[in-house]
Amino acid sequence: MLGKLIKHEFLATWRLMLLLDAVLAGIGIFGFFVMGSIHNLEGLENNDALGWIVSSYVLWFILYMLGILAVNIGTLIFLMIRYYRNLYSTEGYLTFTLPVETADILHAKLITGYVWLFASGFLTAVSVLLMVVGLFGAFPASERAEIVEGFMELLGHVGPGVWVLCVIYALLYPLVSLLTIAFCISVGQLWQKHKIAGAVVCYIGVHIVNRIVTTVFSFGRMINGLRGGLADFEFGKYYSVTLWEFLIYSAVAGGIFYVVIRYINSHKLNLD
Amino acid sequence: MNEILCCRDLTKIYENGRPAIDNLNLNLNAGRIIGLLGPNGSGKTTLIKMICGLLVPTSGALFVDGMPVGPFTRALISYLPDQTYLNHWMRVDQIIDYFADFYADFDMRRAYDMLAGLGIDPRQKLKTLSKGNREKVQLILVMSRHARFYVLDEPIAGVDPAARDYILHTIVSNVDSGATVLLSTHLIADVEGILQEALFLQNGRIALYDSTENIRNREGKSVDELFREVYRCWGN
Repeated sequence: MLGKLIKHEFLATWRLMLLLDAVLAGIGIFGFFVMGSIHNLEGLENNDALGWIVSSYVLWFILYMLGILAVNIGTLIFLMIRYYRNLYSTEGYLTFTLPVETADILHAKLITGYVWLFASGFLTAVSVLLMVVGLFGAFPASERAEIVEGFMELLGHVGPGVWVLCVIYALLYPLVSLLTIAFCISVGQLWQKHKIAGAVVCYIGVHIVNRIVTTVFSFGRMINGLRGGLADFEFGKYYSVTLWEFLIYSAVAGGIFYVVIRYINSHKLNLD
Repeated sequence: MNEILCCRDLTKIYENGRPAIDNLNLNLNAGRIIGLLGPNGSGKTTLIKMICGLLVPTSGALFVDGMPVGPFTRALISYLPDQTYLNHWMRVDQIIDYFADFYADFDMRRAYDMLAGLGIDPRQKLKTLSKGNREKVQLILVMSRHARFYVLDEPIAGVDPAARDYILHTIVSNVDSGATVLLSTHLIADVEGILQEALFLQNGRIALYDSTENIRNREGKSVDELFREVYRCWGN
């Protein structure tokens, strides 16, 4: 039955999700060509036309960032609305009377949502990469090695372990995002009235706790590490330990959210 | 006769502290058309939601065909809620596919025959249908299952007399022999002709449960007349 739930979840979401992903891909390809055209500025003198062109690049970059942000947030909001409507509005009368395990309803939502969030995250990464490659191509070959060196310097010559942790975190992040939203919506439906307001209040609470914990992890460790001066600060170790802490925190929080959602859906379902 | 529903000390208390269902003990025999009758707020919908697993009892136990509420009992029950629960963006044929996918007892031919009888195009999206036709589609979906237990919450509330006749005809003509129908309503005069048993609820408790024939013989009046009399008394 889980397979059938997933199938119908994809059928219900694929149109809008593919459209949003196509927009992301389009933004990425467009970014590649725009950034690749920067070398055309080299021959221009410092005049009004140059100022106008630079301004248009800046404006384009702002729109690019906003576009990517809007598509990613749009994906999350769509999944959020779908989760709420399908489970806790009148549609829930059908969803929760299907002859399936209640847990499978949640699993189908998580699996489908994960695929879409991962796809938009992946396309965002590809989009940024395309822009960087486009920009990189605008520089002479002799300068490219220097740019790479400067970039690595900026990152503090982190080891491969940190990159592996980054990838694991990137894989975990969509799942934890979905669980956070599902948790807040599920807690919100416990309210007899104003269920959406309840979900929003819960989300604000979770967000505040997240901010406090991540600030303590990242800034606390950085301030501690900088006591000996910037020269002695070990960037690689800082990134590695902080990422581990983020990973463990996210996994634990996601696990708690999952258990609470399961409990609410099986013991505290409150469909008016 | 098999027992399709068994409630033991079933209680549901909402946040306001008022018991919507109060220590209810009930056994429903299979193969009957039973009217779940009572005024607004008597606990009809709460009881139905607990039977279908949409509400969790505060205490007590509930068994459908001898099993606690879960995926197996949901496979036995064909539930019609008192509001539209379908995705409006879906086409009628997509919803039929959806039901056929999940319910092994769903009869696609029966569904398409009933749609054709109403002149509803299966390629139409639900949002383009009138409210009345959306409700009829929902009824068709529910009655196209060869279910053991039909649980119908206010199927004739808020519809015109012609639609009521259609709905009641659809219910009676599609119930397989041996299946049970639990039909909640407060429009008793309209359904009395099809009811075999009547279960009166008042303040979450059973006020009366008997066959409609016994009620009529014993009381010398129709179930509708008795209902009006009994609830008028309780209202004073």
